[in-house]
Amino acid sequence: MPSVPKGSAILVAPAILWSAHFLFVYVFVSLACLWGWHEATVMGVRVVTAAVALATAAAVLPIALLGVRAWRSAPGATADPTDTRSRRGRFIAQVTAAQSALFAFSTIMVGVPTLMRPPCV
Amino acid sequence: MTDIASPRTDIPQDEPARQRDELDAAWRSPAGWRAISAVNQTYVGRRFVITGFIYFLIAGILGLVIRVQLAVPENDLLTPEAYNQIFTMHGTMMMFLFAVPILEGVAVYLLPPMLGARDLPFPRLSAFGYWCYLLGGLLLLSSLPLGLAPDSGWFIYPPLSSTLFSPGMNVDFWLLGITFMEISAITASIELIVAILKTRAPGMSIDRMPLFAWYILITAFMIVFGFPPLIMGSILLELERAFGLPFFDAAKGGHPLLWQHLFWLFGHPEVYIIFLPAAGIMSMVVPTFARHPIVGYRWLVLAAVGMGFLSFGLWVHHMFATGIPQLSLAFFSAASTLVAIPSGIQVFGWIATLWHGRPRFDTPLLFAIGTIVTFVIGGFTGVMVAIVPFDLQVHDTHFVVAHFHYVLIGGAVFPLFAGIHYWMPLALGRMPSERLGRCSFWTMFAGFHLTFFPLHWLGLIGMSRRVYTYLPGLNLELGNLIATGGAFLFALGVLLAMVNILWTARSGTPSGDNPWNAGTLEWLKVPTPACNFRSIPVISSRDPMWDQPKLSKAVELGVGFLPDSLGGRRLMMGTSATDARPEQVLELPGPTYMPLVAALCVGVFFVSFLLKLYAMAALGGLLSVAAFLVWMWPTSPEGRRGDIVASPGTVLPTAHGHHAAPGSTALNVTLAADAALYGSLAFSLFFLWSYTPDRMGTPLPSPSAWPAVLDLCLMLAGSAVLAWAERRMRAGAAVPAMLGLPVAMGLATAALAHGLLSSGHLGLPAQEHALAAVLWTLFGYQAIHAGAAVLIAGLAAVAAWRGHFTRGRHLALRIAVRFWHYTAALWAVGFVLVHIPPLLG
Ligand code: HEM
Ligand SMILES: [Cu+2]
Repeated sequence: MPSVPKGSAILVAPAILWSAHFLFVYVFVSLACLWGWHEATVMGVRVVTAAVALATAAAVLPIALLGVRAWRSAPGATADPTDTRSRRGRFIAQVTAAQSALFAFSTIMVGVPTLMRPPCV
Repeated sequence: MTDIASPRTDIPQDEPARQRDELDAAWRSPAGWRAISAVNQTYVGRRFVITGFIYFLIAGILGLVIRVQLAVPENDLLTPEAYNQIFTMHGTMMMFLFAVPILEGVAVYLLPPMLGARDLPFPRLSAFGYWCYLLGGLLLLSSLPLGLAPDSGWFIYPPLSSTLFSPGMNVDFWLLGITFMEISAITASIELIVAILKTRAPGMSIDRMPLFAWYILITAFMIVFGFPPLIMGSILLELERAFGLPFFDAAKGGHPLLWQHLFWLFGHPEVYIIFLPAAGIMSMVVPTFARHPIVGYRWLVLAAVGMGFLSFGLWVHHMFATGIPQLSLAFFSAASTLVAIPSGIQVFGWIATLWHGRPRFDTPLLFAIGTIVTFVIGGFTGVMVAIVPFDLQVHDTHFVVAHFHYVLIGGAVFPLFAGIHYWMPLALGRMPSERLGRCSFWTMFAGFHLTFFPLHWLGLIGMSRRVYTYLPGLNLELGNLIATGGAFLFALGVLLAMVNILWTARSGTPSGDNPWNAGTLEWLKVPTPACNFRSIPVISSRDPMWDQPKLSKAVELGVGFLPDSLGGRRLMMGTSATDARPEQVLELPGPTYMPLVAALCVGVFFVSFLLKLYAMAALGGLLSVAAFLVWMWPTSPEGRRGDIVASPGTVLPTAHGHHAAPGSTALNVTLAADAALYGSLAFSLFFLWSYTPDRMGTPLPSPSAWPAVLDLCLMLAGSAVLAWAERRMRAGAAVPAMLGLPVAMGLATAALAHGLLSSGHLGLPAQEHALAAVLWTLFGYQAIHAGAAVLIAGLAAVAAWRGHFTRGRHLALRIAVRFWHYTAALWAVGFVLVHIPPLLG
């Protein structure tokens, strides 16, 4: 039997990763613009661009992994109303997988515009 | 455990009758004026809803007055000053006194019966919250007849709201009244979170929870993290107005934008804090009247969680016109459009349910469909406003007024009325009049769209909001006249609904159990007995009323958990968060005046502060502390511990003093809210610090670190002592706690005294510079927490010396220790915040 997640907190993990990414990008870019680091480059790449790209990758990857794992681990459907464990396990796994999709997309939507435009206009 | 109290097994003939009478006696509240001491969820919930409705009526009348003033050009019914006060009060009351509290009230009223619980886990806390709500609201409201109502818009931006431009008490009424009543938002959310996680009927695993509970759970967490920024902002602004701490004063290193950030950090989630519970109501009404289980339960849970998080990413979109860097705008704009995804899923879930079902178009469903239509239009204009160039065009016009009334009335008022009509039989035991219901729906619906649809057009051709009149000859006359007429039609619809409620209460036909043939548990027995459930049923379906046909009979016969009150105790089930496995038996307190007394003491503080009687305010603060000490004073655990036979074959521990008692979860949630409050203060520090132009050559004498190092060490030492005492207690030794608690209290008192004496080390006086003011506030924040830690440890010490603690039951000690660690962590973080930036700068 595939492992059923014990708690339900995993359900909000993708959302929490999204929040962390969002906060980082916001604070980092604001400070960079305010203090003029945005001109700085390392090996020809803008520091701001590199940092945002890295942060976005660092957030999207675990979100995606979490989603794939949750999807794979979902127990099969059950008709037995007393089999609370696998029914609830299936529920948590599926909702977690859907959350991952939503928040992976959201993370990309927040990260990419920041890469496309010149910062701090 | 030896003292197992069990229901008698040799059931004589009159046993069920005895049990029922005893249960009823245990849960009944006093009648007459003594009913104000009632703390049952039914009473508190009903009070919240009625009070919220009255505030809604008052704010609605103000809305009508606005519309009368705007009916014709160059109207002189209101002076510009009066107009400012009236639209500010209208917006403030609608957002703070009506929308959030009334929906919380609905949750307080409905959740326990829906979840299979007999009450909320902390009845006195919810009663206390209600009194704060009532008194805080009255404090704000009292400004209106005095002609001193706040007048700088419902988000009271400084500098308009600073002493310079608002020298009178108007803004103080706003800040103090709102902060006072926000206590209720926080207490209610703690209560609701713990109720949903820990008191569901056995078998109701999270995938069987009614959607309403999911929505309320997420809303409550949003309040826990979303309201603290507003509360902190209000505290800072009031400190500036009362004592001249220049947080928002640009001349002294402050920044007015700080308020806007703190306000909208709260303000955007606020829209969803209003919308999510309303969507929860929708998700109960739609399946019942579609006669079909909700379609896409998982998708709706996904949508609710998604909205809860994404909505926090939106705060800056209200500040598009303030000139922040383009880049930030780009991704906030992205977040604004993202939130459309879960909102869309949400609406599709309802439509799909209607599609698959066999809808019967009774009044509640009419209101639900009105919600969908209106909310979709509002969402559409919302996406328009989220597009930056468009926003710059319509900013501060009546287009925006139209947009947010579509969202708020579509997203909260119509669903609320759907809920009122739906649950009226539950509350009154009688069926509402369908004819009156339909009349009131169509009047409200037509009235609403007549009022607000024309405002889109008026806004596009340039009519400004918050301006008391307009000139003739600009093509604005017709639209405004229609809007005013529509507003009166809307009011008539509300009036008809009220007539319906009164008519139902007097002469509606008795409804009987489950009159709408709904699927959820709250309909099990109408009218609901005082204890909600004669026995706590075991749940094996998402729609127990549809799928468990024998449920009602079983509960009637007392099959299930806790049919016996064991001689008049208020007992209910505590279950695990994910699977709702029976874990413990909670025993709840009965009627008491303590919550009212405590709220009155807090009220003394707020009113004296408003009148600038600071000595009196200090007295009010002390009185409140005293009230809480009396409230929390350790009482003898005699007869409240041990195990109980909850049902044949299930022996459960009572929760009293148990480490897994709901109080433990409640403390965690409280600390999360507190951390968010502290986080808002830290954010303010960074914000001001980054804006201080001569940050590099720090003009401030930097605070000297050594006195603070000493204080921090004292606090940490206290933490260590307590950690040791708790470890020993878990091994069964009470003496370390008896000694450790007073030692830790001594250490903290020393740290406090030394900190206060040497507080000169913070550098400049707080009035001189905004950064200095933040440092002083940080210090005050930590000091208050240290004081609270000492008091809480004191209560635990009393319990320890009286011998209340045993190896497995010493919750008070746990709470004191956890609070202490948290406080010490605050001091550590504060140390870093205060002493590291100057080194960097
Ligand atoms: C009887 C129904 C209502 C009418 C006729 C009405 C009318 C108005 C009008 C005309 C304004 C704009 C004033 C101006 O900017 O010059 C306004 C503002 C506002 N309304 Fe309403 N309204 C109604 C119901 C509501 C409800 C139910 C809510 C919230 C749940 C609400 C929240 C607000 C807010 C937040 C403002 C902004 C106040 C400000 O600018 O500071 N209104 N209302
Ligand atoms: Cu917003």
